[in-house]
Amino acid sequence: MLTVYIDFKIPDALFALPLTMDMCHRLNIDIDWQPMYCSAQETIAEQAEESKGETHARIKQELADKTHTFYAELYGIDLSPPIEDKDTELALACLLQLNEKKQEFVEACMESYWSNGLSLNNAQSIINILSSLNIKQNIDLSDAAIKALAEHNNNAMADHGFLHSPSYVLDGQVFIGRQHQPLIESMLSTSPD
Amino acid sequence: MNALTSDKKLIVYIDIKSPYAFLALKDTLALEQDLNLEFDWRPLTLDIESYLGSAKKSSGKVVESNRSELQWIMVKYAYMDARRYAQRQGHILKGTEKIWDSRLANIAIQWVSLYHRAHLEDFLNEVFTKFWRRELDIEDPKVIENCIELIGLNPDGFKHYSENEGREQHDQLQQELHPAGLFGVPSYVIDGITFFGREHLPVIRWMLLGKQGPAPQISYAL
Repeated sequence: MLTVYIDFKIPDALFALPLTMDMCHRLNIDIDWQPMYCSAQETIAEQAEESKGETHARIKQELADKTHTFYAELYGIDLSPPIEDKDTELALACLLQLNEKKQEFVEACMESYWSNGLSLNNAQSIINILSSLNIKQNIDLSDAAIKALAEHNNNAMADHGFLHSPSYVLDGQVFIGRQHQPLIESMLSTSPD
Repeated sequence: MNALTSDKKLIVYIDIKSPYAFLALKDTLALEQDLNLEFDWRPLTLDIESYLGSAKKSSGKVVESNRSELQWIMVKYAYMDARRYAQRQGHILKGTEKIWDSRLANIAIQWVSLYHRAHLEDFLNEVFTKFWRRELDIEDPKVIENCIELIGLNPDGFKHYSENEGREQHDQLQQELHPAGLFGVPSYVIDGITFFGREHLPVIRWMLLGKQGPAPQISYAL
């Protein structure tokens, strides 16, 4: 079993999804999809007076944006979802509660967000996704669910240290980013399970 | 020197005090050799304190620190991650006990690159490997000169270079890095495009080979 922490709005999670699914399909490994709510990676405006640390953070984010665009163009992916509310809390709160069809839900959320321009922070959108997947489970989409998501985030951070999206947890080791897939695959291939 | 242009096909920015630069060395040097190219290796001397706070250790214990909890978590993850890959590369990677001033060692990389290019690979392997075993005081000019001698070069001229034109070139380049969008190591510049991190080496190889076949994914080599 490979645990994968994900937030739908993070471009690296979008890039990672098919690779991760393909790897686990090839190796016949189940994925435990877990939500990891992340702050939106937004461009930082240049300030008239910046400390070195602020400049560092700004140009780091600028390069991350450029790099996402570079790879998106390379793979023919559109990274501009036509969504006003780009938050994903409600969908992640739903993922936390699901006890069936988690992978299908993850795929449907990615598709809804990045291709169909549906908000993942809107209760009706989430209900529609659940309905399209024929998921009958009773899901709480109230403020209590958002609170549970925040608690889940805190617990995951406490258990694993730093996490982002995507993060992989295997044999107690944390791997942040899809660049680790060769090592993860090597570990999964040699795992006695 | 323009931070983003070179007469070589690829610019590689490194800093001896970065574990990620150390891990990138093997595959970047292998790429250079495989494709029979000479890359333009340059120093990007990190100002770690400005973005990651600072800390000092003694006998494995933190004795001084102004890092936030999040900064410590990120530093710990970075070292854990670097160690598992260093181990796979057959290297020892010991966490540093302070934030080193790496200017002198980086100027030495600049000097070897400029005057003894054929010995650059040996020098990089010599200084990086020993530094990460905690066997090198990179702030001591005599230690750096000894490293130069150990790879079969005469260090005469290095001292003067490091205190004069070498220092000037280094410092001037550092001033140009942030405005050019360069902030960390390893960074690679190819066709005016900057990549941060060794995970981009597969796509850099693909670009150097004329973008033949499908574009590769980012990945760390095993």
